[in-house]
Amino acid sequence: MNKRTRLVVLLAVLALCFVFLWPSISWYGRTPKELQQLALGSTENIKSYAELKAAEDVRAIKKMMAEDSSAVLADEYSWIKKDVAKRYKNLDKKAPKEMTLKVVLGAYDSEMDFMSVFQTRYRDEILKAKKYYENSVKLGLDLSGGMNIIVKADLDAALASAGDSVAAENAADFKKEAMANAIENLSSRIDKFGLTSPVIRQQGDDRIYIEIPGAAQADAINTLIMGKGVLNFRLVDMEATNSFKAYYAQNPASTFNAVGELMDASIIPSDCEVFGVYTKDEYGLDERYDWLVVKKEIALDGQHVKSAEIRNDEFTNELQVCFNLDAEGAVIFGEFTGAHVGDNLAIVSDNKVKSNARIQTAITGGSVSLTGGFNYDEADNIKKVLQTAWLNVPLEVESQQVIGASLGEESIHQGIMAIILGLGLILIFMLIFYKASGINAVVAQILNLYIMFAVLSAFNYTLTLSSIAGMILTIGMAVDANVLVFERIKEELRQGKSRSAAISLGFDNAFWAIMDSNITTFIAALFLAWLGTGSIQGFAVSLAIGVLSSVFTALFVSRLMFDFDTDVMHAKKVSIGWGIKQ
Amino acid sequence: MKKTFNFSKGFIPTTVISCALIVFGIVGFLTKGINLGLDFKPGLIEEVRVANPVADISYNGSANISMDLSAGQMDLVITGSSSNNETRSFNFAVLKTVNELAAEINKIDGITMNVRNGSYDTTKLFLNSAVTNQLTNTAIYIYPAGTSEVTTDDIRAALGENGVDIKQLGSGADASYQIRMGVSEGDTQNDIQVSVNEKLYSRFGKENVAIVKTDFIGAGMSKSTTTKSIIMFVCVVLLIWAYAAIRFHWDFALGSVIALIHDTLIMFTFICWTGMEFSTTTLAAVLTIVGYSINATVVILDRIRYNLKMMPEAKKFNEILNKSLSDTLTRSVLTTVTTLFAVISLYVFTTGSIKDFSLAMIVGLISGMYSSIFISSAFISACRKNWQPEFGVHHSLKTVKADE
Repeated sequence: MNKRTRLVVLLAVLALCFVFLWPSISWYGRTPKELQQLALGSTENIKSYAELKAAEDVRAIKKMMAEDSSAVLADEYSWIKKDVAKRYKNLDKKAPKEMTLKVVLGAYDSEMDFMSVFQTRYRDEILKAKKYYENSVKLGLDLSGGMNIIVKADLDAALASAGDSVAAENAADFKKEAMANAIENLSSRIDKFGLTSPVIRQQGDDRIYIEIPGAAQADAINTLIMGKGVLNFRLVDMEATNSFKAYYAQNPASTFNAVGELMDASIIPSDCEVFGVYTKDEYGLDERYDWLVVKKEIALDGQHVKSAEIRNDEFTNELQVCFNLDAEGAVIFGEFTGAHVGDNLAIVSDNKVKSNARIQTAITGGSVSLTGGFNYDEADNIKKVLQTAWLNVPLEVESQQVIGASLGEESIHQGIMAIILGLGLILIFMLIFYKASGINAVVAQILNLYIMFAVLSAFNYTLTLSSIAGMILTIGMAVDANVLVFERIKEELRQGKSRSAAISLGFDNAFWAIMDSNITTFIAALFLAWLGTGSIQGFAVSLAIGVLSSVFTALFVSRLMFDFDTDVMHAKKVSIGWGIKQ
Repeated sequence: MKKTFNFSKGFIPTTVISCALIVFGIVGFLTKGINLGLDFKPGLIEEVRVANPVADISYNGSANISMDLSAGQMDLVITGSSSNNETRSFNFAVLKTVNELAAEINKIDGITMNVRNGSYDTTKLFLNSAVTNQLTNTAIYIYPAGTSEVTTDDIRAALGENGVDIKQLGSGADASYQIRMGVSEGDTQNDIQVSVNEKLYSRFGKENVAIVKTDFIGAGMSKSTTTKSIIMFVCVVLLIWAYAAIRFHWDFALGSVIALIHDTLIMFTFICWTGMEFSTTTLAAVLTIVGYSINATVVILDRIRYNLKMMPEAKKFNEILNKSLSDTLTRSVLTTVTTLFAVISLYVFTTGSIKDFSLAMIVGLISGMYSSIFISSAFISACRKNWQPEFGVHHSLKTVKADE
């Protein structure tokens, strides 16, 4: 390759690295904390936030409009002008020069239409930040502080407790389902806390990994993990529900406090509670679409549910969710439904209403079916909720770690100081020992660090203290490739070779030594990254990336710099150390 | 021309020294054992501080407020549809005491900060890590860092149990205490932790105990980590050996593997006798040294192979070894020195497990340099005692002919 091609390749690599790094730079450097906080919230929170904020703005504009319809649009809303102009253009009309409120509102068909523009704006701003977060390097718990828990699900015990109802050949399927169920339960229970971006995922066949960044109420979360899900049936108070919804429509932002408690408890009857009614959105996440006020008194405890399945109605072919109660439950349920024909009954699971059905007639005998024009997914969700009542998967905490946020901050500080000192010492040493050629090594090391961060960012890797240690170590080891080349060049120079010949031979002769030594380290690092967990993995991944990028910088970048000096700067000698006659 | 050192003279003495060190390590392992970390020996470690809070803070309103406290400032991040979405920062360079800080914070609508010790320095505050940082009706306590009056004995008296290990971290009024206890099969994390905390609460008062950090590893987890670690180590060594055997002659490959096993054993000797905690982080250090040591050895082997071609006049294999070792000596020393720079800066700045990691690394690095020069070469030299110049890279003429 000639020099120009090599330079283009180098610049392309650097540009690509910058693209990878951009989300991290944007998130950590350019996103204000309050926006970070909003972006880390659940999609449900983001949605309701955008709705409420939009409603507030539209109300304010309408108020201004009522006062003076020919007033000019306030500066804070000037962003909407673009959209207004576009709408006029679509209607083949020319937008008036002066954007009065009347002109602005005239561009929209309805208030809903107008409001949706505001909603989109609020939502997009947060979602953009969220996207940056998703594509950036994450800080591990030891750097950000927080809590992580690994829970083991005892699937064999769950299988045993299910007894004969599961055939032996279905055992594997049953375990899979039980596991999915356990994760689902934990997620929805943890959701209740409204924490910022908790991570819950399956690890291996029977382990669940939970990570809660920032600070969390450790004892409450422990209790919640070990506790059983709460499922019950409760009577709905329709009258109170309607009056609550009217109140909520008026005061959407000030009905609940930050932890979801009512600010003013007197708006619903004292024997009632208000819960959101949830469905699954297209991503399988809980999404609230309504409110329901239900009695505090429990009509039937979920533990009486013994099995649940989905069936097609024989006549209408409509989907039904059917469940069976044990003998005691059948009696309670029979009496209760008999007394409340015509009322609504809600299925409440962990403070979320999952289903709400009208009691058509007294249900005796313990076999219940729910109809309501469900599609298959809806029916399946209700079935899963009911399953939680009898599908008992014992959980055991295998490991737990809680680290204070300030401790994390201290670790970041330590890591940065160690990088600066380590890099600084190495650079000074290389400059003294190899004189001007040391500059090549210095540039190679700085690029090395840059490429390492970019690759970590590209893989959305989690940065921990041990991966920082891996990086620092890689810097130390990466100098090795440069040293090998420089020593070889020195040898050639000692034998009286010219600059360009010495450089060319030096790189060629050092090539296999560099490759062999780095490939062996790379094998070790890759293997550890694949098999290791926690600190070993973080460390190995940085080491593997560092090995690759150090080979690139030492062989490619440093060579290019030497050649540039030879051909463009017409250098005749090599400044590569002390006591070498040229 | 560079000077050639007579390294081969050192082969026998260094082998004896290394063997002696390793035997010393084995003795240490048998008599003292290894101080296993939580990853390998299940249990609970909890670091606590005991101090009277200087203030408490609570909030009554519909916004979502989270509190970040660092050495230089306090941030209140206020979000939610009913708020202006802002971050309020309180700089401790300006607000020097708790009183001044509280005066500013109480200006925010809905927040109440009750001061208990108003003259305390704001730069030395910390929060309980096991408590949410979201402000609610429930008060969050803010603790002073330098007013601890309890001692290890107080903590021991509070827990009053056998099998609990208590260590003081930091000194004097700034101290925190590390409580470590083992678990046996069947113990659940929640029960142990709750019982420890309850005992501390009843002795010192609930609001006076702040948890800095907790770590729990159950019996099942720790067992699987141990098995996995051993498999991992063996596999890494085998893989490296396989690669080296493909690239080099078998005795070269074996020599390099012997060198890296040597380094591992030297590190274990060090870990054993210093009583350093052996955790997965320390294991990572050992595994890095494995990679590093092979790296150093391979560079030398590469040079030996090169010199074999370049030195047809050599009569004895040791001459080639000496020449190769001398050629690569600068590189061996330089690379070790630069890596040591990096590791020493880690050692200086970090605390806890990473500090141990760096210390183990320092030992490993020096051992790695030493073994790549002496131990692997000593082995190769011993293997090629009867080498003749016409053998080339091979051991005997038989294989040379077979190749042709």
